[in-house]
This record gives sequence, C-alpha cells and structure tokens, in this order.
Amino acid sequence: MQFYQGFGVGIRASVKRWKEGDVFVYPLIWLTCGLSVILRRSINHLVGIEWLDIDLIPIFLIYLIAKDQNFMAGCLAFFMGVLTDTFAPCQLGLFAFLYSAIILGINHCRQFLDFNDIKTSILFVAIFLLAKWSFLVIIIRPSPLGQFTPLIFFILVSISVLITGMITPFLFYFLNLVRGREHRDYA
Amino acid sequence: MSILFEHRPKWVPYIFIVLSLILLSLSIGKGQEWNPTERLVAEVAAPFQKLFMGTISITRNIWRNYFFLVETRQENLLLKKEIDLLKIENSKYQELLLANQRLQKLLNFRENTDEPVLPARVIGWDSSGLFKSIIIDKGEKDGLRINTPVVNSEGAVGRVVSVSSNYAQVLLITDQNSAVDGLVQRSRGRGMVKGMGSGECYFDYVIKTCDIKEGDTIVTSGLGRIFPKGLYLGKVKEINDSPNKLFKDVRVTPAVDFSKLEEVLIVLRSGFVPLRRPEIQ
Repeated sequence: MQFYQGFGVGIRASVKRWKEGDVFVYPLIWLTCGLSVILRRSINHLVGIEWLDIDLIPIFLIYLIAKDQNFMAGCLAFFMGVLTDTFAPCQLGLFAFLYSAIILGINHCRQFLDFNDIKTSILFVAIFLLAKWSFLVIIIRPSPLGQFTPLIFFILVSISVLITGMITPFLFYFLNLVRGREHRDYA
Repeated sequence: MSILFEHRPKWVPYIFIVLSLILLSLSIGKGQEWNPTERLVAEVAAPFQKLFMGTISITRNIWRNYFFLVETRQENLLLKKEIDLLKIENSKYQELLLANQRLQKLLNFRENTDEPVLPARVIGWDSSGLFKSIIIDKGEKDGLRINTPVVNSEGAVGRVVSVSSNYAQVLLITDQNSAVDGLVQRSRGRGMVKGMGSGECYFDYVIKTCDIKEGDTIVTSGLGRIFPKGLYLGKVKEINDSPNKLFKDVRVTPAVDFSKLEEVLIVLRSGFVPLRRPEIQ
C-alpha cells in the first residue's frame, strides 16, 4: 500500500516538476504543429473544404513570442517550414524562409506592443497569415489564382484568417492550462 | 561563449533566415526531388499520415457497411434491374472489343496497355495548401523513380516528383507546375495540358486552325516520355478564341475526380527511362 502511495506521490511530483519547468508544453507544441503540418490538408480534403486554410502554427508561434520564447519560436518556425517544404512540391527552404522572416518581423513589433494582450495576439496571428499568403501569391504565382478571381481568393483567405483568429484564444487558454501559469499572466 | 547565449534571442532569428536562404539557394535548380534529409523526414512523418488515413478509411467503411443500410432492399432490387440492362450492354461492348482487337492486330498497333501497374494508396495531401500533390505508400523499394506516371481507372493522375524508400510524392496534373503533352482525341489537334492550381486545367498552345469543340476528349500524346499514349486527361469545358491571342484559350475539366482520389495505379513501364536533369560538370 505504501509502495502505491509513494508511486502516486512520485508521479504527481514529476507532473508538477514538468509543469513548472515548461518541459511538457514544448513537446506538445512541437507534436501538435508537426501533426498539423502533415495532416491538415488531408483533413481538409476528407471534409471537402480544400479552400480553407486553418494554420495552427502562427498561433503557437505568437504564443511562444508572447512568453519571451524567441529562440523556441524561431526554431519552431524554421523546422515547421522545412516540414511544410518536404510535403509540398516546392523548393526546400521556401516556407522555412517565409515563417522565419515573418517571425523576425513580429519579433521587432514586440518592442512596442504587449503580446500578452489576447487582442494583440489575435491581430498578429491574422497579420502572420495575411503576410504568408501575400508573399506566396506575389512570389509563387503572380497571375493565376486557380479557379478563383482575386476578390474571391481574398475573401476565402480572409475567412481562413478569421477562423484561425477565432481559434487563437481557445488554444492560448489550453496552452496556459497545460503550463499551469494562468495565474501569472493572461495570454 | 556566454556572450553568445546571453544575446541569443537577438541574433537567433537572423541565423534561421540565413539558414533558410542557404537551403533555398542550395535547392534551386534541383527540381522537387527529395534530398536524403527530406527522405528521412518523409519516412518518419508519412506513417502518421498513413495511420490517419487508414483510421478514417476503416471508420468510413464501418459506417457504410453497418450503419448506412437504410432502404438497402429497394436499392438492391433497382440495382439488379440495372445489372440486367448492363449485361446486355456489356455483351455489345464485348463484341466491339473483339472487333477492336482484331483491327489492332491487323494494323500492328501497339497500345501500352500491357505495361505492369502497381496499386498504391493515397496517404496524404500537400501540406502547403498552395500546390496540388499527394503522398502515396509506395517508394523506391517498389520500383518507383522520378517521373514515373501515376494513373487511375479514369485517366492520368500525375507523375512522381519525389521518392523515398517507402513513400513518394506525386505532382497532380492540376498543379500549376504540371504540363502534359496532349491530343484532341477526335481531331488529333496538339496542345499542352497545364494545371491551373485549382480543380481545372487549361489546354495551352492550341493553334487557331485546330479543330476543337466543347466536350472533346483530350488524351496523352505520349510525346513527353512520361505518360503512355492515349490516357484520358480530360474533357474540353470552355473555348475562348480571342482574335488578340496567338492560341485558343481552352479550359479542360480533368478526367480524374481528384476530390475522391483514394487509390492510384503506378505505371511501371518496361522501357521507361526516368527523366533526369543533366548533371552539370
């Protein structure tokens, strides 16, 4: 009996240590981002809404920047970019450059804005996605936008940005729960 | 050393920018082929896609086979009637097929239908949302090479652009980077079927004098050395013959329904020589 009690206390202590040391949240973020990259288009395809681009990576990146984890954000942006490049028929480094460049720009804005404010975070998730799509449209395909006219394309991207923005507070809340630090900051 | 880590947050983003630029410059001119690192990444990550798609497939099958059996009896009766009609129709086609085979022998016309094909499952879709590609569960070990043609029963699907030991990436004919040499089946007019990055393609370089109508079938010409001759590419949806343009503006609806693509066939052509860029000395 004493053994089981001791075992339970041991697990609780380990979980507490994990939470305090942020050891648990980072693998979770990496795993979620990785799965998001390799599965999101398949999910969209299965659901039949291929035009919708719900990208969770910017949410995690903004969250990490809000928590002063610039190094982690940079790493995540770069490696998720490389993963996206691997599973897309494009030049290796395109998305890695794109994500890293946007993160660099957003990092500079951090000096003037409070990223712990949820509204600012949502705004920057939206800016991230709009910057990403603008870059891709300008650099990758200047003229044809598939079956969509530029206006419809812009509307579809806006809807994707809006939905991703709406998901942001929930994901931030969930990540805070995992970190167990909602009492210290609100983001 | 401590200075480096003390100021890490400031210079680290620049390092990633430089790294990604190096990656970009190294990969330029090498096509879309996977390098060894990418192969490793694909080998590690693709099983997750396979697992996910497999789970979805099993769930869907259970739903269809066990829970979706409402009004099956009525449907069964209707289908039996339909089968009877189809049997009659089939016998006519059998006759036509035999006649066709005899004519082929007479003309010594060799179709590429005897080429070995390998079935593969679609386990993932393009991760960027910008391109049209799929990941399949067959790779180098199964005999796949760069530019191996991929088809299904409806027509041409695409070509292999990247390959690892067990997985391969297929560029669909609807991708903006795809171009397949095509023929109008009826009039033998030539052109190039190019992807639009959406669900459609356009038939480019169609000369003004070309006899082409809406509803015409476009097939592969076999000239690109990738696809066998005579594979269905699509049907002409719209023709715009503007006097200001050098060529006719032809839109094509692909023969393959890419929204329902689950299994594909890889054509392992016996005399097929994979196209590769010439090595720069």
